[in-house]
Amino acid sequence: MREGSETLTETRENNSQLEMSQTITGLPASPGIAIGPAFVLEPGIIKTVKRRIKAGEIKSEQARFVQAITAAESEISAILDDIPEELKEHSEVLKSHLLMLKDRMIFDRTLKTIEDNRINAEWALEKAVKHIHSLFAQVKDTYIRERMEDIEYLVKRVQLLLSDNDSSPNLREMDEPCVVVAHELSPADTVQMFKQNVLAFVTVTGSRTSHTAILARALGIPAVVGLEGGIGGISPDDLLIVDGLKGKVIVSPDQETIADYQAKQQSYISYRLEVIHNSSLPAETRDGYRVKIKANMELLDEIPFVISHGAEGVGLFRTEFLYIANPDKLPSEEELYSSYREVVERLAPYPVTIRTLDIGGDKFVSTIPLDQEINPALGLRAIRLCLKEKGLFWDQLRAILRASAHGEVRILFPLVSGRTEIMQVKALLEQVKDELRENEIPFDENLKTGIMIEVPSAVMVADILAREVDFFSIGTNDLIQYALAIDRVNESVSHLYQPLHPGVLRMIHATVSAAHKAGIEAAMCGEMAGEPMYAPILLGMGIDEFSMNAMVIPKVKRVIRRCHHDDCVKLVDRLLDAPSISEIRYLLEDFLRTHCPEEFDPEEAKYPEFATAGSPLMN
Amino acid sequence: MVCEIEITIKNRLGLHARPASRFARLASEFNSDILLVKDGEAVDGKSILEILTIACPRGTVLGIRAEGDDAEQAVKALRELVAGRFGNID
Repeated sequence: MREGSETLTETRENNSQLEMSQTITGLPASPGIAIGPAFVLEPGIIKTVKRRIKAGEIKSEQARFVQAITAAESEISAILDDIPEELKEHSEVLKSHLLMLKDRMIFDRTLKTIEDNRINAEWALEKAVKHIHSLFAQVKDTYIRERMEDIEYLVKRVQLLLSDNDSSPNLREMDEPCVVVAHELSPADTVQMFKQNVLAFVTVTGSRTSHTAILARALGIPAVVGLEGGIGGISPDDLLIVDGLKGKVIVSPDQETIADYQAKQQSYISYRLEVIHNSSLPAETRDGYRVKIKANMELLDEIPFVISHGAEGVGLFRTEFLYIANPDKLPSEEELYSSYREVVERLAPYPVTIRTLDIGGDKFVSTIPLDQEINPALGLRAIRLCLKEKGLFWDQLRAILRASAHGEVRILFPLVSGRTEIMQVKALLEQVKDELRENEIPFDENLKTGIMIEVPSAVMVADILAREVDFFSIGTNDLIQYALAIDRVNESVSHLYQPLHPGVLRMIHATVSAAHKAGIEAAMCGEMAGEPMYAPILLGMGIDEFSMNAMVIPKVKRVIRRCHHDDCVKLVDRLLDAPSISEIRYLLEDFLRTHCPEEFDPEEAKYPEFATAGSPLMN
Repeated sequence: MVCEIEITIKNRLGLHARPASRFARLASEFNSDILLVKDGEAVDGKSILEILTIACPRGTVLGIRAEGDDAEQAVKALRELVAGRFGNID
């Protein structure tokens, strides 16, 4: 007996070694953490059985196809019939699927091919799809080309129904809360998941903007898509951890990892609750000093997020997306206008700061011949490119000005290095305004203009620049990179990228002082503004507006609400005298431990970088 | 009876999936054969897939040609759908 049980233990140990945990990475598509068993929804590829048929079989083969289509239709109709209220707006997609099933390019064509070529339904359907594929491949519009995905979902479903051994597990068979794992999920699958106990979903295909990712975010279900290396390593009922924040899936985790993620899950839940409860509180220090907190954003679907996280407007609306989205042609003024207008209208009464194009010409269509640039960060980009390609800039300025008729808009010019550039930009802006006035197109006559402060020379002449604009916005990412001559992407020097470098702090301080002396506002929209531990420094320096990724707004607000402005000013006085990064760091950590112990408790390990030997937070 | 008109697509995103779906659905309600003509190329107005393959961005001018007993009503209804930006969608 004793011997036997020992053997058993040994075997079990061997097994557990075989089931070593494995981490698969993908794209984070919907935030949150889920832990639960895998429900593997479908095999990735279905093999189509191809068979020639006799003349006498044509009728029955056609009938079999019609039956499969009818079955697919009734599946979709059933989902449509009791689509939850929250997802009503997505029902249009399913309706178009119904239409596609009966579309003559699928339905009539397959029936005809069965008869003409005397082949079975599966084969005929495959031929029809290949034909559609070839037509869609010629379409230039990426959005329409992507609809081919919908057709493939549908056809796959019909093929399964035809194959008669539709043994793939169905979502309806799920009887306990599970993580759904699939090669891909159709919108219909995702809608159905709403009614089931789905903890998370994991797919091989998809991107952050695919139907399923958007739905997952709407439903609040964590999701990881675009899984590298596929789902081959996941078997039904394997325990999975889905980290929708980082885009990781851990298969068969050990106890320690599970405990670790349970804690993360808890802290994410409390974070969400905190967001809901506190995001609307003002960003005000204990002694009543108030700053503005705004969000950085790029895509229209971020708007609800921006609002729910308590932003008082958008401090940086990046406009590159529409230029990159279609590499074959420049966006028209109308396209730009309707996108800007939507942001402005949906954010009203809060202001939106729109930054003009901030990339190099290599990223999209350009009419000027571009040489290969050895150092693109120092090349023809942002305002330099816009001043050279005036036609492109003209359209964007018109679009921004027209949007200003629909709410408060501020315009922000990137990468300005000196006064000449501002004067050129302002002259051009005036010409555009004149044109609009002539054509009686409305815009805000009081539109405020500002510049990014991100080139060291702009800091040195900030007093001169401040006379010409209504506000500054400090872009710390580029400013640090240019000031310290560090390429952040270059791994051998990236550790030298130091926001706390005395040179960087002095530059920020000089910029804010010059702005205030001239009576204009100083905002910050770089990553530094969204780092909670830097908040006391920025408060002490007098930054008027913090603009950051909406996600971190609640954390930064919390730190601000725990500080006294007077203390922050004193802290900054000491920091500006400190000779080195390490000294500055020590003083800052000491300040945080004293003034915001709840936020920077080493036990909570919210800021692991602090937990180094010698750190005052470790005492 | 044959009825033919010209229309201009006014939606921001052009004649993409949702507008095409609405167009095909409405066209299917009529007995007449309905063709959509772009640059001399004609597709079946009742087929969402064929409509999608002619990819019509905003500003595209299209011909609608209906042939059948209810051609006139069909063309009228479709013209209204397009003019109303397909029920005010993007």
